[in-house]
Amino acid sequence: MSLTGREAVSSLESQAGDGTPVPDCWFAFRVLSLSPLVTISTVDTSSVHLLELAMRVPELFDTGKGLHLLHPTWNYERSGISGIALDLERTRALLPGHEFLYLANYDHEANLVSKAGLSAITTNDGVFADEKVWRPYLPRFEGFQHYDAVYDARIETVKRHRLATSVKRPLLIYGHSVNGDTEADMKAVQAILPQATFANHRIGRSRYLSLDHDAVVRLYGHASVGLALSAEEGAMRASTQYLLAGLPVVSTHSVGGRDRYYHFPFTRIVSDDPDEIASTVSGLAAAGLDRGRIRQSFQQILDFERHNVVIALNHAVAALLGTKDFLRDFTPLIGSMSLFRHLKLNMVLARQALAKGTV
Amino acid sequence: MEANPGQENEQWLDAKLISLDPLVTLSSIEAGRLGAMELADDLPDIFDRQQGLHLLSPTWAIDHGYAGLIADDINRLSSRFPRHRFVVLAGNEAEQFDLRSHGVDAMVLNTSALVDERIWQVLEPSLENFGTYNAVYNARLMFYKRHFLAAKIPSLLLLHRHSFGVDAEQETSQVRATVPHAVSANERLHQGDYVELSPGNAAIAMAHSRCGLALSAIEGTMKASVEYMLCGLPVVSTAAGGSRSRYYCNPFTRIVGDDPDEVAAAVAHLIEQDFDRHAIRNQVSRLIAFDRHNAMLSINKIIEHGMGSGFRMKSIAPMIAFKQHFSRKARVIERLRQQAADLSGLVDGAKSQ
Repeated sequence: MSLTGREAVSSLESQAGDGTPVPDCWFAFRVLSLSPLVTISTVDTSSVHLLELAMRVPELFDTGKGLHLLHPTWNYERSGISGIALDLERTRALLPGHEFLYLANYDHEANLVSKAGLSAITTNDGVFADEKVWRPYLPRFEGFQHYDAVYDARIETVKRHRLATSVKRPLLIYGHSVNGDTEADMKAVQAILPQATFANHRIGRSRYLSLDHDAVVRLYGHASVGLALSAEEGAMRASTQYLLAGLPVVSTHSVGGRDRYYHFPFTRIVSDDPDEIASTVSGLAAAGLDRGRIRQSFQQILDFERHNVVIALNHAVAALLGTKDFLRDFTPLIGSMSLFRHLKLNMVLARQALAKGTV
Repeated sequence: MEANPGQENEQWLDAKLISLDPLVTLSSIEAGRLGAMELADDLPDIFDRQQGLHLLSPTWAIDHGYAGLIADDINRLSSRFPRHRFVVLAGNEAEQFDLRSHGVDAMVLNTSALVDERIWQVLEPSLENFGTYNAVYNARLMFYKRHFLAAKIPSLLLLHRHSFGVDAEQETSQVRATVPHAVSANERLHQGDYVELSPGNAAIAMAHSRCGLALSAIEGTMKASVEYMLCGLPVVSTAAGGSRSRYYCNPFTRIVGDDPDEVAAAVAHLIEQDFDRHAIRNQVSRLIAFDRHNAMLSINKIIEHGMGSGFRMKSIAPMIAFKQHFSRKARVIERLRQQAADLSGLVDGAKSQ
C-alpha cells in the first residue's frame, strides 16, 4: 500500500481519531527530535499545516517549548506574506513558547517572510533530495524508447507544457491534478503536444497511474535533458532530481528558487520561446554529457549546502532551545520534504513517534 | 602604505561603487561603523539620491549581540535615507539567522568568495634559497591569531602584515616568541628587513608550503583560508567563531582542537595525503562560483523588488578583490569619486552611442 495514496488515508480513519472530519490537507512532516521537540513541515502561501496537526495531536506539542522548521512549497513574491503571517499568528497562539524557523529557498525569500516576524535562513529545497533514490539509470524501462527531454510536472497551466511544443520527443511524467480532472487535463496537453509520450498513462494502459519515485527516476534514464518551464512556483523538486539523475536542465526564467543551482555549464536558462527551448535541448543532448559527472558536480554543491545548513541549524537550535550540537550531519533531514501525506496520516505518524518515545 | 586598520584612531575601510544609476555600493562594516554610509556627508553627489542599495560587509564575526548593534545603525541610517536599502552580507546561514532575528535584511555572501583567483593560484616553488615548509600561517602577529598553536609544527612559514593597536610592537615580539623556529617570509624576502608583501608575492611564498593554517578562536571570514585553497594548499583550522568553516566541507580541510600537538598531527596527516593542488583549487573554485552565482541572483532580486529598477548586475567582477586593501577614509573618498566619474563616463558613453 502506498503511504501517500488517498486510499491509505481512508483506511487510517479509525486510527486518526474519533471520526471527526479533518481538512483535506496534504503536507510533508517529520519529527526530528522529541526532546527537545524539533519538527520540520511544509507550508504554502497561506497555511501553516502544522497548525492543523497541533490542534489534533496536542500531546506531541505539550512540551513547553519546541522548534518548528517551516519550508515553503511555493514562493511569496506575488502572493505576499499576509496569508502566512495570519496563520503563523494562529499557530503561535496555539503553541506559546514554541519557536519557528523558516527555511527559505533563496535569500530574498528569507528577507520577505521575515517581515511576518519569522526567523529565517536560506535552505533550498534541493538539499532535501535523497541522492540514494535520484541517481542515473540506464534506459531499461519496458515499453519506453529514447526521448529528447523529460518534463516531470503536474499537468497544470502554471507548468506551461505548451513551451515544449518544438521538442521532438518529449516524455511527460505527472502527478494527479490537484484541482482538476487528470484525464481531461491530460487530453488538453495531448492536443498541444501530440508528439509527447504520457508516461503515467502509458504504464497505466491508457488510464492514469500514479508512479513512485523508483519508476520516475528509471524513466529519467530514457531522456537526454530535464525541462523546467514554469514562470513561477516553489523551488521545483524535479529540477534537483534531474541533476542528481545526471540530466542537464533547460529552464525558463523563473521565480521560486530553482535557479539557485543553474550556474553549471549543463544548466541553461532560456526565454519563453518553444524554438529556443527545443534548440537548447538538442544542443545539450548532442553534447553527450556524462551523467555521472553531472551528478557528481551537483552532489558536491549539495554537500556544501548541507554542511552549511547543519552549521546554521545547530546555531539556531542552540540560540532558541539551548541545545548544543543538535545535528551531527544532515542525514535526518534527507527526504523529509518529499513525501506529502494527508493530515490524517501525519496525525498517525506523530502519535506513533510519541508512543515510541523516539524518532 | 595601506591596510593597517586601527592606526591613528582613524577609520580604515574598503568600499566600492558598483553602480551609480541605480546607486549600488559595497562597503565594509568596521567596529560597527557602516562603511561607505559614513562617507555620505563627504560625497553628497553620490549618496544624495532618492534610492540606493548598500551592501554592507562586516569584517568581524556576527553574533547575536553584534547583529543588534548593526540593526541599530541601520535603523539610524534608514531614517536619514528612507528609500535606501541596507543589506548585510552574512558569512554563512548562521550569521543570516542572527541578522534576520534582529530584522536586518541579509544575504549570504562570504567575502572569501570575492578573493581574486587570478592572484591566488597554484604555483611551483620559485624562490631561491627560500626553503620548503610544512605549514604557512598568513596572519598578523597578534594574540588573537593564536600562533602558539603552531608551535609543534617542525617547519613553519609566517606571512604577516603590520600589527595594529596599542603596544603593537610588543605584541608582535611576544607572538614571535611563541614560534621561535618560524621563518618570516616578509623578512626572508628582504634580507631580514620586514617588507609588506603584495598578494602576488604572498602567493609565490605560499607555493613553498604544504598546508595552510587558520588558528584564531574568532575573527571574520578569514580570507587567507580560501586563499590557501586557491593556491592548492589543504587547511588545518581550529573551531572558530565567524564563518571561515563555510568552505571546510572537503577531505583537504581539518578542524582540530586548540592543541599544538593536534594541530601538528593534522598538518602531518594532510601532507601525507599528498592532495593534488589543482584538485583542491578546482574544488574550492566550484564552491566560490556557486556562492557568487547566488549573490548575483540575490542582488538583482533586491534591485528588482526594492528599487523597481531595470538594472541588473551581469557580472560579479566589480566586487572581486573587495577588502584586499583597507584604506583610510580620505583615500576611500578619493577612490569612490574616481569610480563615480568612471561610471558616469560609461553611462554617458552608452547614451551617446
